[in-house]
Amino acid sequence: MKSSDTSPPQTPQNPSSTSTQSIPTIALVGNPNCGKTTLFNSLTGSNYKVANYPGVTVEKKTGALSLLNNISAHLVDLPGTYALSGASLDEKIVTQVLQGNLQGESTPTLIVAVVDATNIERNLFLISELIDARLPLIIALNMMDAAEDQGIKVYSEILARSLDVPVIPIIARSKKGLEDLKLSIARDLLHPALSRKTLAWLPESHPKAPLISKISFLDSHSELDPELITTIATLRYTWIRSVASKAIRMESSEPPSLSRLDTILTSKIWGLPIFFGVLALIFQGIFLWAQAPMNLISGLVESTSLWLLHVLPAGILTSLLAEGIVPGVGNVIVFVPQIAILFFFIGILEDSGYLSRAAFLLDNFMKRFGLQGRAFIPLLSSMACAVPGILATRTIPSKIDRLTTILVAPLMGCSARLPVYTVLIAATIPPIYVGGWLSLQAMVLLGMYLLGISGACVMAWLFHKILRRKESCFFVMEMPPIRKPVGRVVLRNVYDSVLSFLRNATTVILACSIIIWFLASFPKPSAQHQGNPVEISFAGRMGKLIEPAIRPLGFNWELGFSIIASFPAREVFVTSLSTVLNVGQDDGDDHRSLINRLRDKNQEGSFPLATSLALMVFYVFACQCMSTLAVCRRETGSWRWTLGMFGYMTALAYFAALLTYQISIRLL
Amino acid sequence: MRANSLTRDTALRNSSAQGARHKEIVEGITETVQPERDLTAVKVGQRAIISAIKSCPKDLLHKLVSMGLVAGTEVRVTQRGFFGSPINIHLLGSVLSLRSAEAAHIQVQPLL
Repeated sequence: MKSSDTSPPQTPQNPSSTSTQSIPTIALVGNPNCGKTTLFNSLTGSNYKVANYPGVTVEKKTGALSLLNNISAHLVDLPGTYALSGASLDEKIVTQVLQGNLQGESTPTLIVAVVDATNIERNLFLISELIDARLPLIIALNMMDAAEDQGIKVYSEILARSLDVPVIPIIARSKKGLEDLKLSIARDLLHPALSRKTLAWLPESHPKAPLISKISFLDSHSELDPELITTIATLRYTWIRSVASKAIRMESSEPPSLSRLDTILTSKIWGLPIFFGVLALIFQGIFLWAQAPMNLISGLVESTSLWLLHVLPAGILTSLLAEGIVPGVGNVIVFVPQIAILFFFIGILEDSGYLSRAAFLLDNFMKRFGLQGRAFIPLLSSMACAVPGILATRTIPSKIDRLTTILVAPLMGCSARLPVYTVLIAATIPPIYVGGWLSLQAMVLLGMYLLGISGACVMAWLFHKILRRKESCFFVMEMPPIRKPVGRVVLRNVYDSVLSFLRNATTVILACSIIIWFLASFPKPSAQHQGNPVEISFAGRMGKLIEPAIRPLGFNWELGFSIIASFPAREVFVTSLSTVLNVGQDDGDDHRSLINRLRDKNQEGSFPLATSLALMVFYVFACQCMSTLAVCRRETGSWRWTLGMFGYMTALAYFAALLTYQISIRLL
Repeated sequence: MRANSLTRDTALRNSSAQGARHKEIVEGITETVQPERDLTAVKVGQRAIISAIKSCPKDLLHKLVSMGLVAGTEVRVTQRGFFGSPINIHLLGSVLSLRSAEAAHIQVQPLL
């Protein structure tokens, strides 16, 4: 594939991958926001797998592409990058995969580079580097409809001739031009060709020409002199400008002005109020719209439990199934509607481009806390689940910024905290509507999230101050155009997220349910024992052990054990509390009964509002998620930071809950 | 617009001939182009041509030049955030958002 006569020495390809590969691999590259992922979805029919590249947490998407004549190929969606020559992790992964240097990844036979037709000049920078790297290439010129709307006319044949690369116009969103693209791919797989325009941007007479022609364009240029980097980029863009001037005609000489919507969204007057309005809407939605589906699911769980008790012979296994597993897992599944709504909103915000506007509004503010505008998306994702949030921090180039963001991400909220908050709020906060429409319960929920966010700000500022060394942390972000979110993409995202939540539920939580059931059921009390049989079980003993430490927080052994039990996964708290309080012995096991039981205890004084608040505050700050710790370990590469995260959060949770309880018990 | 296109072509000619950063202002057209300043001095709605990037950390430099912030590129400031940061600029068909500290490295010749 690579002509080796005049090219600079390049790292040899991984021999085993090319010789044993029977199905060719095609790599999709391109700038972020150029529609590469939409094209990938369209070509693979949403039939793809998501994994990680070995050793790093860069996402890898692979799928099968079927071309005509029964030829099929592996299609790999590589991370979006603006260049190949930078030092960022994404660029490193892309260049390694393209060279075939990544362990276990086959060398791509062909590259399909997606170019945004409304943004051709900047997109051509990457193309120019790909040509210089002597890689077989096809260009998919995407977003032709948007280009037409903006009065941009692109002559793809002229472009193809200037670059010596096939150019296929497509509209990935509406699946136009895909047959032509597949045809071109099939043709190139059989007869691969390299562009002859290598180094076309470098005038032969240029004084630095001999030096530049020896540079490898598949490696990072971070070793090069900054003047050389600038020279190369300037020359490239000069060439790109001449290519573009021949192939593109603008119907209007005026560049498109900022749309009215955009101006309002980022305005100094309206921007922030709109942002907070959006947040309030999301929380209102999560709390209120999920009620009906949640009632449905909890009803189903209860019936299943009762049916099992009815149908199966009495015994330990039946008890395990009907009173341990079904309610245990069921209590968590009941929150899927709320999680789905949360992920749905985040998907819409991201796909519509609003998140970038929010990052713009918040960056100056976030800077003061040692964070940056780009940390906003990972932190916002963390409000649904810290695991993808932490994974998303790879878009933050600076190590210090990234570490700070990872350390505070778990404080942002978490869909698993919702079960805990919901149960406690429903049991102890009255369903009053302020002003007739604003739910007090929803506002308390919002308050907990805001508390977590404030905690994150304070801790981030602290971490940044402590960790700050001489390293550049920069922001530079592209603002994608505002557009209507594609329903298909958003819903697929919700589906993927809910699926992974359920997968977690059926593994970690299942295991925990069984363990908790066991700990709470044995040893069994003797016939003379009065009161709660759980009290003398292993669970009870563990709770009693830590009771002295947690009594100042207003917690007793029942809560104590449930907190311990929920350290692997927060949702387990609800399960555990149900079991420990012996809920479900009478009327079937579901969280409604737990709420009723807690409400009763609240009325009778054994579960005061102060305890409930302290408990909620504890959960705002405590790090109770094995998955989060696992991802943190992987991303930071060190146990030190992972254990540090666990440690600081536990300490914070303890003292915040202590403060809350001691103050509330005196005021309320 | 003739004066502006002349400025740009000359900037291009100079950059491709010497291939190095330069700060020369075109002779004879100084009155229509304002003296060189950094990007933070450009007002919202105003256009400017980039002339150079000064004393910038290498990773930031690479990011800026790969996004098109090189000598000769025309940019237009479209928005500024609270207290002047971030700055949104329109160039080569897309919008970039930069902190004022990052924009301060970018030397431009504001137009009109």
